[in-house]
Amino acid sequence: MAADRPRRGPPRRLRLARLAVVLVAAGFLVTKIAGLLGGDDPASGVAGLPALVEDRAPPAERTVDVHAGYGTWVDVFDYLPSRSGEAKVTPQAVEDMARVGVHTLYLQAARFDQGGAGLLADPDLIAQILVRAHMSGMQVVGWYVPRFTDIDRDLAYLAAIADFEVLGHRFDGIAIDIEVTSDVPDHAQRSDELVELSERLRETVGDDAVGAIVLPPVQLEVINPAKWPKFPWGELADLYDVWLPMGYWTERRPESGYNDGWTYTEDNVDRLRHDLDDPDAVIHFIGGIGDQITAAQAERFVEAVTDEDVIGASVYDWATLDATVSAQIAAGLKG
Amino acid sequence: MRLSWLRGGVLSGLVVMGACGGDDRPDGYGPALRASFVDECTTDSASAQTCGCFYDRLAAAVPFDRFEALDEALTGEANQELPADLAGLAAGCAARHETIDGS
Repeated sequence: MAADRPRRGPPRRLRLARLAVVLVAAGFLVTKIAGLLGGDDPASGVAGLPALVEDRAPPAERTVDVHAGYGTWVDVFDYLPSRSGEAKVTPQAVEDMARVGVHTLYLQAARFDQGGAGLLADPDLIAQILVRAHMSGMQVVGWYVPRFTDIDRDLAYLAAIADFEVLGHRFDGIAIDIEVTSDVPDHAQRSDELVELSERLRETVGDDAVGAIVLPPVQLEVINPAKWPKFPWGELADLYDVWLPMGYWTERRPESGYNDGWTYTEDNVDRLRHDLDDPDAVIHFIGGIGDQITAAQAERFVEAVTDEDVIGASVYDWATLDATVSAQIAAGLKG
Repeated sequence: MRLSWLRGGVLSGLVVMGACGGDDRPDGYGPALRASFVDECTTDSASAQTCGCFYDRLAAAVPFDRFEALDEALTGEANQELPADLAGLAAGCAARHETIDGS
């Protein structure tokens, strides 16, 4: 009897096949329509990462807050591959820094005598370090060491650091490392070049906070007054927002009394504020050198920077400082 | 209106396309996935060159099973944590291929 019934439609297998085609087509349409309705939505999945990274770019303003808390230092000799192709500090190290409590990474982003066509040392590596640091909750200050023989060139490097931007991410701060004395032996001329460079840098970056990484006053005034006589503290005072003295007490001889994390730090901070005629000068103090610092020395360093009410502190540099001591200092500063 | 949760990652896109063409989900990095990835990735701030570089670095450094897991994890949630290493790879490529200040 069933064989005699008239067919109401195509065979069951054909109906299922048509249903499958309809479902697949519907799925495809939903995907496409969603994509169209999404408009400028970022792409999804791993392919959407560049857009997501751009969405997460920190605010563009540069303030002295970037220098607060615990910092660490990486120079070009650490992160650029050596002739053997190895680098002491890779972009992966950024996550290690975050784990021990680093708030700010000070990265040498350019150098005067670098090769290549660009102004930055290695934009690819710098971008990786910068964005990984931001993704790990850290901030990054780009710094440069001027030589004072060609102020236009020095300024170009600093401007390149200030202008560098990748997927919306910029350096959170800029700093100038004032320490080279050999290229311009005449200290008066060198000071003039420094003041001119500082004025032009201020004009270039506007209201952005700029840090001055300086030779420590104890070195210039007590240890070796011939190093840079009459350093122009007064003329620089209003041109920088934060001061970062390189207070490496491990380089001081024990008989000087300054081979100590508390004494050298305390005397340098007092002298710096006196030289700047500003008892409230904002200071981030740099201790060092990393591989010569014991846990006991680190404790005295933390005591000194806490007593002196500086905004932040660090040790030069990441490649040489033991991770345990690094974590100890970070914890002490949070204290 | 945000509908990116409906879109799926680049692998999901390939499955839908594959269903029409008779192919299956890719089980590794390859030319078809690269083409789809670059198409999905390209935006005003990430050129096809940047996206191709990003894909090539992923293929060289990230095991495919991790790529699959991240492709799914990075789809839909607005505030998800981004993998810093992959973000770094994308940024390095952008610095290499986009017109950026400072270089």
